[in-house]
Amino acid sequence: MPGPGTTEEALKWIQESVEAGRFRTAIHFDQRLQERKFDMFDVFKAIASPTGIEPYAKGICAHGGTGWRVFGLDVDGERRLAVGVEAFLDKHKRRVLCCTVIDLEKES
Amino acid sequence: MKDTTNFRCQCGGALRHAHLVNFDFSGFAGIQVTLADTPGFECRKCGGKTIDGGLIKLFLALVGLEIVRQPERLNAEKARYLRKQLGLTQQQLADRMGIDRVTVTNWETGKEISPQHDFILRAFADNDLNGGLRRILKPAWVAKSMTTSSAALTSVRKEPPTSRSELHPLVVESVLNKLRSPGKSRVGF
Repeated sequence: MPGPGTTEEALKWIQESVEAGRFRTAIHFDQRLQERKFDMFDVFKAIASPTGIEPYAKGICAHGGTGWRVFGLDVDGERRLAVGVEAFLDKHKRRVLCCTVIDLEKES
Repeated sequence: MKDTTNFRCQCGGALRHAHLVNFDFSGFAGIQVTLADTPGFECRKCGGKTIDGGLIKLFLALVGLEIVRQPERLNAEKARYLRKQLGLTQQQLADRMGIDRVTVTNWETGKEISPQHDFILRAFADNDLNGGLRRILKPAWVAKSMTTSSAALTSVRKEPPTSRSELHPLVVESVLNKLRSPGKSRVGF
């Protein structure tokens, strides 16, 4: 189940999959959101209007796809976050697994 | 329904389809919400649970719809939820409503929202949800829901906001019943 190979391809893949609802969240993703005081609206905003994207392996690719970190701002436009995702192909459909969310304000 | 999926948990276990009872949706919504009974996934190895992305989008919209329908005036967290659902910053919402940003900040930090602003914010959200749900559900069902939702908007709310944050599961239940009907459970991942 291969995934996208370039940042341009990955961003298109991730945005289209999330927009169409062809995504799933990892177990405990909701807990990471609560811990870092984000919600799904912030995740959707960051993915729809990203400020950057970079490859992100770190063992998140359980479905043979490729891992990416999508950077963006929350809905309030005040806090920077990154969403760690795996983009992969399943039964000829492009899908995304949202693995984690990172609070870049705290990380920096 | 097929029991197993192609998907794996971070722990390495396989995910299976499951009906999740009292699934805590609060982390996704940023507001306290419990789903009484929803289709989802459970890891065979660690027992962790999650739900499909399409359902997450649907429930986020339904929570907004439920907030619009509730009779009491919006409290801080519900006003914030509707603004975030609209995808607007406090400044953008203030500009749309023709008010100062400080006013929006005040609602979201506990100051009582005026009946007029309560009405306008609900109307914005209702209009937005109308389009959002049409993309997810069948038009006939959405039309029926929106009629009820619009009816709820016809009066200015005089009751003060309450601290109640538990959302009524009736709307969620009615949608799940639709999804459980034969031939309509197309939301699986």
